This record gives sequence, structure tokens and C-alpha cells, in this order.
Amino acid sequence: MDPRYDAIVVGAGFSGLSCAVRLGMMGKKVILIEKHKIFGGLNSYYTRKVDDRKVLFDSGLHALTNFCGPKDRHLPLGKVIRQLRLSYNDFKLCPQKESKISFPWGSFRFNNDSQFFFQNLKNFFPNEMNNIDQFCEFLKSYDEFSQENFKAPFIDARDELRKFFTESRLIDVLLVAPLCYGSAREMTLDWNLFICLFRSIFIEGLSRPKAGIQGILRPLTEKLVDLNITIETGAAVTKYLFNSAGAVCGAQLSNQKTILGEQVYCSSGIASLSLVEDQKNLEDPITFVEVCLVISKKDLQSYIPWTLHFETLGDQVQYKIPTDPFDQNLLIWSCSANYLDPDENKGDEEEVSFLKLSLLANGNFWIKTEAETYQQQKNELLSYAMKLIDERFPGLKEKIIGHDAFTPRTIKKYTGHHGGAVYGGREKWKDGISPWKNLYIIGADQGPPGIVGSMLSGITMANQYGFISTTTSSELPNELS
Amino acid sequence: MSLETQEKVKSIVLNIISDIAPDEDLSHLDATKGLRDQLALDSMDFLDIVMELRRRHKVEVPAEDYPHLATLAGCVEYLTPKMNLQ
Repeated sequence: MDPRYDAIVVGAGFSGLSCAVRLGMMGKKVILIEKHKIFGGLNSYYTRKVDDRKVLFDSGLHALTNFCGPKDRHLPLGKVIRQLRLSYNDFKLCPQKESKISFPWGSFRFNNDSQFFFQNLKNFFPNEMNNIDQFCEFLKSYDEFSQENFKAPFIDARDELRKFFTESRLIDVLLVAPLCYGSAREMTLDWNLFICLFRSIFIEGLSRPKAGIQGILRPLTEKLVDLNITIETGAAVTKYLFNSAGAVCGAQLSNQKTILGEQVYCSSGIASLSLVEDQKNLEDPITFVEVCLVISKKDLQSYIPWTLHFETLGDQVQYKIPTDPFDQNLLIWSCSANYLDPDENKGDEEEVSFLKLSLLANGNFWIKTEAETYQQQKNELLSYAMKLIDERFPGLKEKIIGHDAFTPRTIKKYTGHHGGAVYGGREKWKDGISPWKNLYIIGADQGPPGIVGSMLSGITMANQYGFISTTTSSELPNELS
Repeated sequence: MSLETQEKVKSIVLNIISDIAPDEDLSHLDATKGLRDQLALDSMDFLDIVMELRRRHKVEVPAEDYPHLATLAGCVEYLTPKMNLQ
């Protein structure tokens, strides 16, 4: 007899992990399937030998958005911690020092005190002073998680911002970071999503777990073990199984196992489901290449003052899928050395840190190209990054200990996301209900963006369909009965 | 229903709340006032109370009865007849 579960969770990224933990808390028999050996999905980790030492790389994490204090349980991160019954101190969050948004015509600093950012905006755009105040007031009264706002149809954030502001340059300043950190569309994003991202970056703020992504993955994994959740790694879903009523009732895995379950929660994206027939007409998603440079913390701190830097090289924001393999208009920099560590000791100076450069990428190119051109382009990407670094920080190039890069091909390989999508498809499945009965969508195609957003997605879908709904179908699949 | 049973139910509910919101001080809780306001519980936390009642005590609370759980006194009144405390 094949094993039978109440729920099958596909993908051990942050949405899948959180979903599995919640379902486990409800007393359900849960299996979590992950095709990779390591958890985290888009935000995972790996080790590489650099010189003689083993260096631990975070594969996705720049900064964790949605920073909150230990008592801020009403904020998204606070809710996640409480719902998963984790302890705030588990994460050891180190807040950012200061970040920057820049254009050739001006640059804007921000930190976790949003007033500092708004004041900098007012200084540069004195005519917009009252409008900025009104925008702040609006933010206070707006609830992006209310059913009405969350499920509202697409509204163009640029259009809405034009109702507040007259300067298009100011609109670009406000848009660039939310675009880069969560938009699955080119040039603009949904208004509700914009507010969600804006608040998570500028109002709540940025931090980094002291241990990097493992600082969040480890406590989550411990929960899985405590709750006796079955974990199947190194095996991908090759096919979903349907019962005679047409409802999903199980999955076949690449290791030949058959898993039966009442419900499936899938985080690999709606486009990844082999059930989607029209694979050819799928849109090209927003995706990135990233160069990661290993440099000692001490050296990085002496060259680079910011935590993040959203650098636009043209006059306006160009958030577009490039026709070239990678974009050269919008540079997203991240420096892991510039977080405030409350218990930092001087011995940490030898510690390594990471300077990352992310660029919009042409997913189609990176995924389909042959091995030789792939390597060639990867080298070109690296020399482009080196050129930029040399121009901006003369001397820093010599301090680089090691480097690595990922491309949409890497993302697709490890996450199964169509086209190496980082923020899911353009269309969202906000209620999590897929076209197939008993199969629910979690993660980037369902919920809010970012690591905290993904966790919320897994939690809310588990609450909604694992607890409130009363699916009791126990039919065996056609082929197996 | 005896006072003793009511006290038992009360401590069951308080135990659940203290697991859901471990950093809350429950000693000053006013039994007749809303739990939501006193403890800053949201609808997600509420679901956890219902979830734990089901898991630990096999008590089902249908969604239409959630308002009965608004206060600690309401919880005790509503849950006492439903619980098997022998």
C-alpha cells in the first residue's frame, strides 16, 4: 500500500516550509517534497571552497524586508513568528545601517527610520512637501492585507502615484526599490503590491539574520522535525494523480515513489505544473543574474558605506526584461557587511562578507543557450561586474577573495520556476485555488513577495484550506484503484 | 456546571493562549472584556485557539460560533458543556 497523507506540500522554500509547519500543528499527517537536497528554494545556501577555506554562500538573500521589533506582533514578520511559534530571538536580526537609491541626477539615503527617508525626499523635492505628507497619511490608513485590497484587480501603481505627486522623478524614486524587490511585471506593479513592498522596505525596514538565510531556515526545520513531518528530499514531482471526480489525490515522484494525499499545496509555480497545457504561450518572467563577491568584512566596510544601493544609470527607471543576456541600466547592489550587529566582537573582523550585484536578465537566453555560450556570457557578466566595481571603488578589486554567479538557469534548476522566475508570474492566484480541485497554490504565484511574504502565503493557505475547509474526499486515484 | 469544572476550562483556555502568545502577561486578564483587544490577538491567533481546542481536547468549534470565544468568560460558558472533563 502506498503511503497516504492528509497533505502533500511541494517545495521546501519558505512558503512550503511554513505551510507544512502550520498543517503539522493542526495535527495533520504531512509530507514535504523537495527536489533539491537543501531547503530554502529561491533563498537557500551552499558551500564552496574559496582559497583554502569553505565559504557559506546565501543563494538569494540580500536583505530581509519587514523588519520588526520583538513586541511588534501585529506586523507581518511578528505574525509569522507567532503563527509558526518561533521565538523572535531565534532569528538574531541585525538591522541595516543605511541604504541608497541613486540616479544620475540625485541620490537618496534611507534607513529603518522612515522619517529620515521622507525628509531626504522633501529636501530634494520641496514642491512636493505637502504631497509627501499626504502620502504618509494615506499609508497609515491603508491596509494592504484586507480582503478587499488584497484581492482587488490590478491597478497600475504609477497611475495611482501620479494622483499624489506631480514630479515624475519622485515617482521613480519611490518605485525603484519595490519594483526590484517584488514586481513580476515590467516598468510598473500592482498598487496594493506596491504599498505592501513600500511598507516592507521603507516603513518596517531591512535587516539580516546574523547567520544569513540559515538563521531562519534552521528554526523552521527544527519545527518540521518536532511535528513529525515526513520529508522527502532529492525527489521531484513528475506527475499529479487524479481521482475519478477529477480532483488531485496524489503525486508521482522522480524516485518512482507514489504519494497519496487529500490535498496538495504547490509552491513551484502555476506554470511548472505539467497540467498547464499551453506551455508555449507562457510569458517570459522577470528574472535576474547575480554576481556574488567574497570579501573580508573589514575590507568591505572600509570601501562601501551602504547596505543596499539601487543604482539607476539612466535618467529614468528601466525595469524591463533585457534583449541582451543581462541588463546594464539598473544595478541592485547588496553589501552584507553593513548591518548593525548588537553583539559583534572584534574577533569577527576576519569574517567574510558578500558584495552582490543583481541585474535583470533575459531568462530565455540563459536557459536555452548551449553550454559554451553560457559559460562565455557568465564570464562577460563577471567582467562587467569587475569593471563597475573598479570604477566605483578603486582598489576593492584586489581585495576580492572569491566569487560566484547565478543565472536564471540556476534558478530554474533549483526551484522549478518557469523561466527562472523570481517573483512568480504576472497573474496571481490570490485565493490559492488552482483550476484543479484539492490543489492549492502557495508562494510567489499566490501571495505577497519576499521571504516574509512567502511565509505568510504558506501560513494563510494552510489556515484557509487545511483548517477551515472540510474536504473529505477519500477516493483512490483512477489508475490505482 | 460546577465551579471546579469552570476553573478547569478556564485554565485550559489560558494554557492555549499562553502557548500562542508566550510573551503575554495573562495574570491581569479581565474575563469579561474582549481577548482580542487585551492581548492584541488577531483572527489568525483566534484560529489557533480553535485549532488547539480541536487538537488537544477534540472540541469542534464551528465558524459561526467563534463570537462565543470573544471573552474568557464567554469561552468558559461555551466550552464547559462541550468538554469531557471526567
